[in-house]
Parts: sequence; C-alpha cells; structure tokens
Amino acid sequence: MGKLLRTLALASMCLAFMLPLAAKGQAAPCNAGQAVRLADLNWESASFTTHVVRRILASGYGCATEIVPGASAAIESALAQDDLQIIAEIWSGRSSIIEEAIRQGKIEVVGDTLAGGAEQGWYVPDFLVHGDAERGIEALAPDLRNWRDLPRYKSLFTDPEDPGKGRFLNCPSGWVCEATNSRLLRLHGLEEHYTNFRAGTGAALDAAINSAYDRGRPILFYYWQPAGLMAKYKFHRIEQDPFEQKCWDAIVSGDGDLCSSDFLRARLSVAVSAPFADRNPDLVAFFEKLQFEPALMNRMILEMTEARRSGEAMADRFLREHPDVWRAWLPQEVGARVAAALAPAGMPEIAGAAPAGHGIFPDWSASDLVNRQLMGMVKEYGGVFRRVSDFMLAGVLLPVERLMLAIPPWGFLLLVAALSWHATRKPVAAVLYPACLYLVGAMGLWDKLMQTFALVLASTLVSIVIGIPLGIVAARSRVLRRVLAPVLDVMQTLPSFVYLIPVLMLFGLGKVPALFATIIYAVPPLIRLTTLGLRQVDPDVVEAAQAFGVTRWQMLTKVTLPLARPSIMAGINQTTMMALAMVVVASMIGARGLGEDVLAGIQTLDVGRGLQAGVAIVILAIVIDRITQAYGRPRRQRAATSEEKPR
Amino acid sequence: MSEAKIEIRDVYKVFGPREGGPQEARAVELLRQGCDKASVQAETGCNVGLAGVSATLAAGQISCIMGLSGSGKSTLVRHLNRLIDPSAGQILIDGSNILDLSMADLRELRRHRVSMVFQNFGLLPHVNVIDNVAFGLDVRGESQAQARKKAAVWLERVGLLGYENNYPDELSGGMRQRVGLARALAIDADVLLMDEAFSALDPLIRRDMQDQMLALQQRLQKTIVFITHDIDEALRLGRYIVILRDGKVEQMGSPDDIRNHPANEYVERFMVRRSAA
Repeated sequence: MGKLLRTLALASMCLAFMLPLAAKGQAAPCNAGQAVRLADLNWESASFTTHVVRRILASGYGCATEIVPGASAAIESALAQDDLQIIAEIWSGRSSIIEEAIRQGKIEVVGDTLAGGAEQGWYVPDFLVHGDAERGIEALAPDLRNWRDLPRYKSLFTDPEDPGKGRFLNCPSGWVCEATNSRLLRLHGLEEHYTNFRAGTGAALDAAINSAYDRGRPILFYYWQPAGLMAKYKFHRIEQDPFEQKCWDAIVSGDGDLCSSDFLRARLSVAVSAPFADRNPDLVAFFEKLQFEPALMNRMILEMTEARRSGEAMADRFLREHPDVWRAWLPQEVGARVAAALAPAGMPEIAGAAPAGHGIFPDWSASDLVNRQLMGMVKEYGGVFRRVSDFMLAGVLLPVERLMLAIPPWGFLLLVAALSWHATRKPVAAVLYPACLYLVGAMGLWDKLMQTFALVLASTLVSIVIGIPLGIVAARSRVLRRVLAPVLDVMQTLPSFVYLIPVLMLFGLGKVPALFATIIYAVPPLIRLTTLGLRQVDPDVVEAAQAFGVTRWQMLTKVTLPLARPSIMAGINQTTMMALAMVVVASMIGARGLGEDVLAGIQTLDVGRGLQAGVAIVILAIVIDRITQAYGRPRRQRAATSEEKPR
Repeated sequence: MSEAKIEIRDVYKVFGPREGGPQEARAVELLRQGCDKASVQAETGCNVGLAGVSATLAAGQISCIMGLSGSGKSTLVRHLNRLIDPSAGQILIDGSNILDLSMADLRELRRHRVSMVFQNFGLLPHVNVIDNVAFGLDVRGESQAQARKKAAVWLERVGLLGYENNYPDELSGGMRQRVGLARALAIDADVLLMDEAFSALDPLIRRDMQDQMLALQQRLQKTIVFITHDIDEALRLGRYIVILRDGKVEQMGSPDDIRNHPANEYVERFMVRRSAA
C-alpha cells in the first residue's frame, strides 16, 4: 500500500514536471490545430510566393495547409470571412473588397514581399520605340513617350473590329485594373481614339501580347510587374502624370472627382484574416520579414515560364538553392526544421515540367513540340492568318453586326413577330417571342443581345455554307464519311479551351477567333444531320425520279434535299443552339455580347448581372429554337394548325 | 405478231459482293455452262438475278412478265430503262442497243421514250398531285405552266380531276397509283414499264384499275411491259406472256398458248390452280 502511494506520487511529480516542458518544446500548435487555407493564385509571382509560404508553414511551423482555388473576388470575400486565412500576394490599393475589409478590421495586410514594390501601367513592346536591329524591326513610334502621344499613334494599334480607332488591351472584366484603366482612359479623353478592349481572361491577354510581340507587331496593353511576360520580353512603359495619392484613390474607387495620376507602385503584401493573425503572432512575424528582391523574383518567374514549372516546383527549387534568403526570415529553430524537411538534394524534382512517371511509360509528351510549332507558325504565317481574319471581319462579321445594330429595336421586334407568325402561324408565338426579347431590352442588354445575335447569325451562316455541301458530299461518298466521322467527333468533344488560345494567337483577339471556335463546335451536327437526312430518303422515290431521267442536280434539288429538309432544319437548329452555347466561352477571348456579362458576373461575384445575362441568352435561345424548329416542320403541317384542311 | 419494239438478248444479271467485281464474270461463265442458281451462289458468292433471258416484245401491245417473287421479273424490267445494268447480254429498243447509250443519251431515253410505274408508287411526298404528274415534264425542261396544263389533262383521263392540290399522303392507294400512272403517261413515251403496278391495291380496286388500263390502252396503243406475280392479271391484260422462274424463261406465248399448251409442269401447276379457284 505504501509502496503504491509512493509510486503514484512519483508518477504525478514526473507528470507535473514534464508537462510544461512539453508545452515549451512544441510551442502553441499552428492556427490552433486548424488547417491553414491559402488562396491559390494563378499568376506566377503569386503562385510562387504562395507555395514558398506554404512549404515554410508546413515544415517550419508544423501547420496543416490547404490550397483553395477561386476567382479573385471570391477568395477576397472568403478571406474577409475567415474561410480563407492567407492570400500570399495582395496588391495595395487594388481591391475595394480588401480595402473595405481592412477598414472593418476583418483583414490584416502585413509585410512587403517585393522590395521596392510592383510597377503597373500601360506598355508597348520596346521595339516599337527603339526598334530591334537583330530582328530587323524599325522603330515605328520613336516618339511615343507619354499618354498624350497616344492619339497620334492610334493608327498603329488599329482595332480591326472598329477601324479608325486604336485598340487598348485592358484587363479582363472583373479584375480591379479593368475599372482603373477604363476610368483613366475616360479621364484622358482617349476613349474617342481607342476602343477599350477587354481580353476576357488573363490567358487571352497574355496570348495576344505574346503573339503580337513574336510577330513584331504593335500592341498597346496594360500590364504589371513582376510577371512572366515582363521577364520574357522587353516592354516600354507609357509615362503617366505624376502620382497623386488622392487622385489615385478616386480612380480606383470611382468615387469623387477624378484627376490624373500615375499608377500606384503597388506594395505587395501578405493578407491574412484578422482572427488568424490574432491566433498566430509568430506567423505574422514571419510574413513581416518575408521579402524577395525584384531581380530574384523576376528570375524565378522567368524560370517558371521558360521551363513551364509550377509554383510548387519553383518554390521547392528556391528553398534548396537560396537558403540564405529564407533563413533570414525565420527564427533559428524554424529555419532548421525547414532545412531538415527538404528532401536530400539529387532527389527527383517535384512534378513540374513532367509528372512523375510510372516506370512502364516512355516519355513521349509532345507538348513542347506543339508549343514550338505553334510559336513558329505564329511568327511565320501570322500575317496570312491575320489577313484571313480581317477578311472574315470585314466580309462577314461587321456587316452582319452593323445590320443588326442599324435596325431600330422596334423594327427588330416587329421582324421577330413577323417571323414567328410566318413560321408557326400561332398568334401566341407572334406576341410572346417579341415580348421576351423586349424584356431583354428592358434589362438594359439590347446592344449586347444584338452583338450576340450577330455572332450567332454569322457563325450559323458560315456553318451552313460549310456544313450542308459537306453533308451532301458525305452522303454520297463512303470514304469521306469514314474520314469525317472521327474528325467530327474530335470537333465536338475536344474541350474548346484547348483550341481557343491557339486560334486566338493566329487570328487575333476578338470576334474572329470566337467565330472560328463557334464554327468548330457548331458545324458537326449540321454535317451529320444533312448526311443522315439525305441517306434516309426513301429509295423508291429516288428510283422513280431516276426513271424519269433526272440529272444529279435535279435529283438533289427536286427530290433528296426537299425530302431531307426536316433533318437539315434540325441540323441548323442544333447549330444555332450550339453556337449560342459557345457565347460565354467565346467572350473569354474577347467577343462582345451577353457572354461578356456572364463572365464578368462570375469574375466579380455579381450574381445578378451574370444571371440576367444568362436569362437573356436563354430567351434568345428559345426564340431562335422555336422559330427554326417551326421552319423545319413540313409546310402543310404548319398551315394546318391555323386553317381547316379542305378535305 | 407485229414488229418488235423491245428485244432482250441473252441477258444475265448477277449481284456480286462488289459491283463489277471478278466474281460476277465468273458467275456468268458458270451460268452459261448450265450451273443452277444455288451452285453458282455457293461457288462465287453471287446472287443470280437473271440467268440468260431472251425475249422479243411487240410494239403497241401489253406484254406481261409473270413470275413468283425471286423469279427476276422486277430485275428484268429495270433493265429496260437501265435502272439496272446487265452483267452480260444486249437490250434493244427500236433496234438499237441501249447499253451503248451515254449518260446523257440515257437520260433522253428516260425522259422521252420509256416511262415507268412502280409498285410502291414512288410519288414525291412533298409535292402536290398536279406537280407529281408534271414531274417528268418538269425534269425535261418544260415550263411549269405548260407542264401543269398537260398534267391536268392526264389527271382528268385517270379520273382524278379536283385532286390537283392534294398531297399523296391524303389519297388512297388506288388514287395514288393513278397519279403514278398519269405521271408515266404524261411524258408520252412509246414504252411504258409497269412494275407490279396494281399489286399493292386491294382486289376490287385492282380490277377497276385493270379495266381502266385496258380502256386507256385501246386509245393509246403503247408498248406496255407489265410485271405481275398474278397469273389471272397476266392472262387478263397480256397479249403476250413471259413466265419467269429463277431468272430463266419457262414459257413465252399468247395467253391461249399458255392456257392450252403449258410447256412444262411448272406452268401447268399455275393453270390447274387457276381453274381450281
């Protein structure tokens, strides 16, 4: 009994002695044991920084980490609500959501991750101002220095969709810089000289700049530093008026009187949610010290773009190669833990360029080859493709669009009413369809509706011109059918994003690549249904016609095509529907119209705006669908719905 | 018998796995040596349509080609306007071999000299009755007004006046075939091919059509090749009858010949069954 007591006492003494020790050795658990969620940012510098932070948090501080993707507006509001804890690269003064959250004390912005801050502004390729002897490019705009010089040079940057104006390539809708640039353009009175062209997506913006630079063509765009393209190419910054904080604030927020100012040299920081900052003072201390030299950052970005390395792979490389840099940010023992956690050198790199193999597969990836070929093609034949593009624009798209915009809204509504009546012979349709479109106009989307309709109409027309003859030939030729079948399968199933960017690089940003992408997607059903319709024509009727000595042409025009008409009309109907389905995707490469609003709605979390544009697309789809379907029905059937048959 | 309008000379037709392939020539060769349908098929994989048919059809009268299904009668009649080309043999119309015609000449033949009526009518479903009848005229380039005028005349003769603006699917089978007949007659060809023209009609209507046919023929005096599987119809309409079996001619002759002197047991069986009925 006494022995037992003594043992117990000893044990409790030991425990009492050890507990504080344990606490001291382990420190407070990271973020109270909760997983730290970092925003997944998709531009290079941010992706790199995010992964450096993540690695250090995970191995140095023992945090459970998680990377969460999302559009910028979405992740910013998530941070304000502590759903996210860290955005590893935030640009000062760029986002009203962040500014608001800072004021409300929901977010803290700490550190200065890029020494000297980040430059942003309007740029042109450097060869435009200074020429490039090596590539044999003369300086086309040697005196382009200040924004005041821009109107003089607008013909250099001609917008093919709006000849007479230059094209200023803005950020995609939804980015903060888009609104900033738009206000600056208006403030400088440049809107009458330049169209304010939104790229749709960051990838589209990059692709357009890439393509122009490689072909040695002029281009005027907004860009920022540090970024991959900045490291890859030499750009010339257009001078702005001197920086005024007050003016800049007005330009960013859009409130108050606008006045001219240079872009803010943005300070890059780490944004953390306030509760997270409270819980983790040690991490905040780390973020405060975290800083890259611009030269180092540029080199990292360059390596990422050149070797197509992910932010994760680049972060790993950085941690290995530059321990002196990151050790300076961390307390001694944290640094030691990070170093210990780094896999011994010589280990295969973390998946970057090529994913880890399975051993049995040879490395036959063709992506580098395709990239090289595409860039080569853009350089070699870019001019030819641009001429095709200009032709399509001037010959097909602009006339259709001008026609659509020239018709007054009431005229268009009357036209729809007349068509609905003619197609369906139902008074309800003749009233309902124009009323639906009137509703779209009432939502303030009339011009965008017309732009979208023009694109759908143009691509449907081109699809008909391509699809029906091809369908006719395919109905006749078994060889062609065999060749065509897999091609059409590819056209219908290949994700459109895959060919969107190459098409953009070849044909330039805007309506033409959208038209091509739409046609690629929309023409297969028409070809298929034309072929099917022709092949399903009753052979007895064909034989009878033959017995009366028809020529091939007569057979086609008098017999098979009319008999295949329902099938062909179903094909045209499908084509228009698929063209409409491509509208949103097409807006990602700068096609104007309803898709633009849907995209902007997604990117700015403006659900109402997106939904409204979405509803407008649905209405347009239904109206087009019902009218074309009605024309697909045999004429007699249509007539029969309103009049009694004589017999 | 009056002068010959159509001469069929030793016509063979085999359907090989590939049109014009070497198996077809081989099959014809075997048939010439006297092999029967089944063994040729086993040997070459070719389906035998016609195994050496020769016949002479006189001008200005109805000749019937009679046979059960698979006897090759529909195949034979399609040789007369070359909807099907023979594997071997010659087909003469008015003394010239139509197999020598170019594509353009063949179209002329079909547009002016040989017309056809089909078992399943073969009317254009998207076109009304008057334009269906005018089809042959339209195809050969006559103006729409003139074509419709001629078509109206023929529509009246077949007793369909007042149905000009109806569509084929609004007519009964008998009426549809009268449209088919009017369409064939409208181009005013010497030769009229009728492929089981009345077989799809019910017996009463068929009888009516036969009567109408005979009445028309009395006026028109066309060379009509009438295909049927019905011996009664053949005996009733035909001035001359060719009986086919397995792509070969079993007997040819006038109805009386056939009735009174069946050449073999096969033909006799038809007559026996007929008298029994």
